[in-house]
Amino acid sequence: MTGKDMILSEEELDGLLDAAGVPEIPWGAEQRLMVRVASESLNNVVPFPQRAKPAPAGVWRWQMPAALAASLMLGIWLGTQGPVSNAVAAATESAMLGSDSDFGPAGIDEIGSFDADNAT
Amino acid sequence: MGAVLAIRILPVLASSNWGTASDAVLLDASARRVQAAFAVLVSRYYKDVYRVVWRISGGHADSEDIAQEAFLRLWAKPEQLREAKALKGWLLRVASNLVMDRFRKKPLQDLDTAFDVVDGAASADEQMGLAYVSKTMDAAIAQLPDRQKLALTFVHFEQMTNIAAAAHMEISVDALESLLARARRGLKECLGPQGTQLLRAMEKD
Repeated sequence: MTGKDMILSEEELDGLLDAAGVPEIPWGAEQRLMVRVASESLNNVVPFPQRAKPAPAGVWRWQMPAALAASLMLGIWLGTQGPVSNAVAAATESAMLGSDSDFGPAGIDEIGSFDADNAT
Repeated sequence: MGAVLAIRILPVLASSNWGTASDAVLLDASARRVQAAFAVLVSRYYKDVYRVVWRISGGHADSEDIAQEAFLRLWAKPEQLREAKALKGWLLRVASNLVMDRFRKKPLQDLDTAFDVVDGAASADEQMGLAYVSKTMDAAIAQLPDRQKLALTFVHFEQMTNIAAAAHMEISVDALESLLARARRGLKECLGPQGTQLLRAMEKD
């Protein structure tokens, strides 16, 4: 056998390459891949933040809103009546007109004659 | 449990309406996390990817893991592919890069086929059979440099044209032909006189 005989021709090499092993696809490989895909999908889910727990039911649940609502209504009513002093004067006048006696309601005179300097 | 469930579900998913859809439609659906569409892509290209991985890794036991990794990268970001027609090439390129990266860090040592090819002491005539020829050729291919191995795999084993193989490897056709020529010359030198013995063994078988 000469050195030249030892070297394969292109056709001979192709023949040997054709004899090389052919891989067998492992049974269930695609299914195993899809299992991993499914698990990766689950792992990538970002949970939404939990909702805040609702306040406990009961009488005290309405305490603060009721106080705020009452305050608001009082504010609106006072706003429509003008200054508070006017409201007091109007209430006094109506009380005087409605009374048959020569004297106003108890205490009204005293308010008018009140002398701060002599107060003890 | 999960595997059993997937084995039952996968054929149903793959045979749904997605089965006839184009790669572009399937990629778009995969980007919307539709697993049934991705399952069709897997059934279309898994074998191609696995064969290339097996060939470049020299039949390593990690071939399945590496093929899986390539598909999982696609599943993680299907939108990274600009053109659906480049899908197969992209998968093969990612898979072959994964093989090269993995075995650059950990050289191929535990190959079943990695016996000494150059040692012709044991006559091929004595060893006999196509199985021996097959194993010897696998071992010889495994010893080629990665890029040469990849070029040979695409053109000879995957039956691609030089143009397609060059496109998949992102190199010029001239560069691909150079890699092929060097791969074939390397194989001839590696086999040496054993090559003709292998041919005789094949003829006998």
